[in-house]
Amino acid sequence: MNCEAARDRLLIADNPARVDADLAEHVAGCAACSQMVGDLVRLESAVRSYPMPATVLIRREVFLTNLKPMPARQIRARHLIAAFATIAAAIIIGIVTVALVHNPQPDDGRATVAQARPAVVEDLVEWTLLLTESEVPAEREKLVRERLPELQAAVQRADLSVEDRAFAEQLLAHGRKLGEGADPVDEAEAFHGVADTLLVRLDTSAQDPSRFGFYAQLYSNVVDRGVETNLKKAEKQALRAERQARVQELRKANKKQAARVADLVERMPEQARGAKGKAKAVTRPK
Amino acid sequence: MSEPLASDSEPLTFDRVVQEHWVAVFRLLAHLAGNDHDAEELTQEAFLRAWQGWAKVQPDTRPRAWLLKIARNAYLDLYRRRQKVKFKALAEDRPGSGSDPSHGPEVSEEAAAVRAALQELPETGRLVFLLRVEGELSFAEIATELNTSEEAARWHMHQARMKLLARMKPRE
Repeated sequence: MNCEAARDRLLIADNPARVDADLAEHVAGCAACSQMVGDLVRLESAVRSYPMPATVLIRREVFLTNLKPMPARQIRARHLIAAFATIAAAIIIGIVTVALVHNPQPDDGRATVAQARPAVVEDLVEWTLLLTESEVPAEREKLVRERLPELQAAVQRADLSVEDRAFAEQLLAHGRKLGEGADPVDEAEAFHGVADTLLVRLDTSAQDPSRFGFYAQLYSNVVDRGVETNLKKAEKQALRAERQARVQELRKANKKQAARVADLVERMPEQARGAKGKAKAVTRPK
Repeated sequence: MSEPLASDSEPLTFDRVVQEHWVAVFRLLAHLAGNDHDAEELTQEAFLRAWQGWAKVQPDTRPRAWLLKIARNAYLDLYRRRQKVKFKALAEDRPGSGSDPSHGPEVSEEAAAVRAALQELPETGRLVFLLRVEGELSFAEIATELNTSEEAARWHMHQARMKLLARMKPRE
């Protein structure tokens, strides 16, 4: 076998590192073809090693959480599919939280849900994200002026756990600060802190799918719209060395946080996903 | 290769399909779209479509191949929509262009170079390469998905690997 034929076979191989005996024999005795095998393995390894953002696994869990509440008897109902599509679409465009903000009369169902998924916390997170997305100072001032009093009152009224109350206070302070001015590096760091708090919430909610899904969605929003968006804004600016260093530190911290998220999702017990009891709802009929 | 949807033991649940294949679908879409933001939205869109078609899927279907086909269609729909409205995106926002800056320093230089080189491959070559490397489909499965022969799929792989190797830096 000559090198040209060997290389053609390597280029169409299922796996260049595991080839037929005659080709392997040629490769073993030919430095150039052996180098080509090494390069092909490196190439595919480079593709597979491209890192994933932390939010990928979180989004998967949010998606699964939204599958869970469907009762088995509704499997074939077309309106169920439509309902699910609506729920998931709501996640995509982020309108769930906005709808909650504008829904002032909680019914019994919402009151029950509020224990595990405090609406005021969701409102506060969305408020801070809207603030950081506002480029114009006047818009920020307006958002603080119009929303802060009602949110403070809502926090006081709400039946929150000690941890959720502390988190709500953290968000109120964060929102006030956002109203004072725009700095993408400061804001990315502050949202990273919020994401850290949410990560702790995720960790302590691993046994409760509803609560886990709630915090997972908030975490995903905070990382996407709070941390990443501000980091991208900062990276487009000509930054002084000190600020560049802060951005790089934050990137490193994000990477560590992503690893913690991946670890958390992998450690989640199967029953916590609610998959067993309700899996029939999405089991393909034989 | 993943197991078919229904085996002798017990039928696969949709939950399990999501658990096992979400990351693979995301990774394919990230390489196709060239950025993680679009890939995350498209992954969600692909699984919604999969959920809608779940009841009609044949028992001998391989979930990985089925999902990657849905994902590819979701990507092509987005790409066509953007072309239709003459979407004037910045280079980094256009499907099939550039690497994602959000990864910052944690992306190795080589991985970033390979992702950029992938965007320059012809569409079929890129799909064949990614379906094999990230999707782990056999060439026979790839041929079925792309309505071509296995021989043609291997030829596209030959071309893709050759072009990508030419773009890689030699190892020092």
